[in-house]
Amino acid sequence: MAYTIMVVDDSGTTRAVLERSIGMTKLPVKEIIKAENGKDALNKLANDWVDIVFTDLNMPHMNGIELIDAMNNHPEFREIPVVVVSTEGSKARIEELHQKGIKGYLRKPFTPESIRDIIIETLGEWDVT
Amino acid sequence: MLHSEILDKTVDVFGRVLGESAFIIPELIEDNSKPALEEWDVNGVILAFSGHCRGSVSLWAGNEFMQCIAVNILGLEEETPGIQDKALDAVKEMLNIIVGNLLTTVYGDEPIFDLGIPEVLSREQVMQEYDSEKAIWLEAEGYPVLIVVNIEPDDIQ
Repeated sequence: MAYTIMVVDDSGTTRAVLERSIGMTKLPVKEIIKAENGKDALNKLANDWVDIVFTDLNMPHMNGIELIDAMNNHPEFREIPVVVVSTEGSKARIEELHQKGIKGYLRKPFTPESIRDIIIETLGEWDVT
Repeated sequence: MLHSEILDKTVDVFGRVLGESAFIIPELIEDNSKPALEEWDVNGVILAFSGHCRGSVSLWAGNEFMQCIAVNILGLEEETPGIQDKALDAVKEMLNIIVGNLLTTVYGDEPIFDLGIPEVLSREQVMQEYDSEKAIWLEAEGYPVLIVVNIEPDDIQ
């Protein structure tokens, strides 16, 4: 078994860097599903099983907070762990995100090690080789 | 806080983000080493922010530097098709990271800021910023880079 990971960011650069970083963790990954904003993510979540979502906050059409709220109000999506990846540094904003139930917060720029740590912390050391 | 202190912190944050993300170490250059405006084939991006205070940070650089960022961050070849678009997206994201980290560096982690979406500037706008007293001139990988930081209200001297 391996992880299916969703990456949500309006920047193609960040989506690509996250994909590369996840690849460098050497964790078992079945698929990385990429979405450009919250709305795109919700559409893709309806069609694909996802183990964990990494999302940016500041995106057009539907931002990260709106995505988290929408997932929390959905009977199935609310169980999917969400990790926010952002440049946001405000303690109050990060606390607000934790109150919404996020499982982790990564500040940009991030490292592959921090991605690996947060996946293992959130999903457990499942099939890690 | 003096604007000169903000400019110093901008240089520190830009260097840290560029180093950690793209393995590039920028250096400050003297005003008389900046490129001649009429010969500088430059692109610009800007990111506005609001909240605790309002402002914007703009970043100007030539195609070569922007492609260098994309190559280093994304592990692309310089001949990659569509690298120009990827380079612009990479610089927009770089600016996003710089501004987010700069605001925390300057104001700490208590205030709340809302960052906008990075936007492309027109070639004509560089003329307004080229000689700005808020301009920071750097050189990275041998290419000139201009950063301009505007912060309101004017309690900053």
